Amino acid sequence: MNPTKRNSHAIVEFVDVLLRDGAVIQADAIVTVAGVPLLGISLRAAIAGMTTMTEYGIFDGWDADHRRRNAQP
Amino acid sequence: MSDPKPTRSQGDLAETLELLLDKGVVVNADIAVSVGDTELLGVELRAAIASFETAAEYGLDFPTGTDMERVTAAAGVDADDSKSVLERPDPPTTEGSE
Repeated sequence: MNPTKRNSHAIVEFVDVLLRDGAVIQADAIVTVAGVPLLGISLRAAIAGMTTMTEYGIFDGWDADHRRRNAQP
Repeated sequence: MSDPKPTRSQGDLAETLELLLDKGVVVNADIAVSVGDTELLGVELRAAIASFETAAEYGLDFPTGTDMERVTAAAGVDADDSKSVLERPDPPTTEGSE
C-alpha cells in the first residue's frame, strides 16, 4: 500500500501530457459594475515543453541563443 | 495481475487532460446581476483552452510575437482553412507584427 506513489504517478502523467501537447489559453473578460466597465482582462498564454515550443516556432531564437551561449565557455 | 485493485484512477487525470486539450474547451459566458432595474454587476467572458495543434486548427490567438506561419505549418493546417471559434470582442491593434 503506497498511495503517495500512485498519486505522484498521476501527476507525472498529467505533466507529461501537458508538456507534450502544450496548451494555449485565450481569454477576454470585462467586468462591469453599475453599468461602468471597470476591469478588463486580455490573456494569451501558452505552456508546453521546449520540444513542442520550438516545434511550433515559439522561443526559437531564445532557445538557439541559450544553446550558443552555453556552447562557448 | 498481482494488483488486488484495479488502478484505473491512475491514468484518469492524464487521459482527461489529453481529451480536454485535444477537443478544446470554449467558455462564452455573460453574467448579469441586477437588482430591480439597475444592473449591479456584469461579467462578459470569452475564453478558450486547447492544445497547440487544436488551437492552430481553430485559429486561437497565440501569445504576441508568435510566428503563426510556423504554427500552422507545424500543426499541418492551412492558415486560411482555420475555423475561427472565438469572435474577438475588440480586435487589438496589430502594430509590430513581425
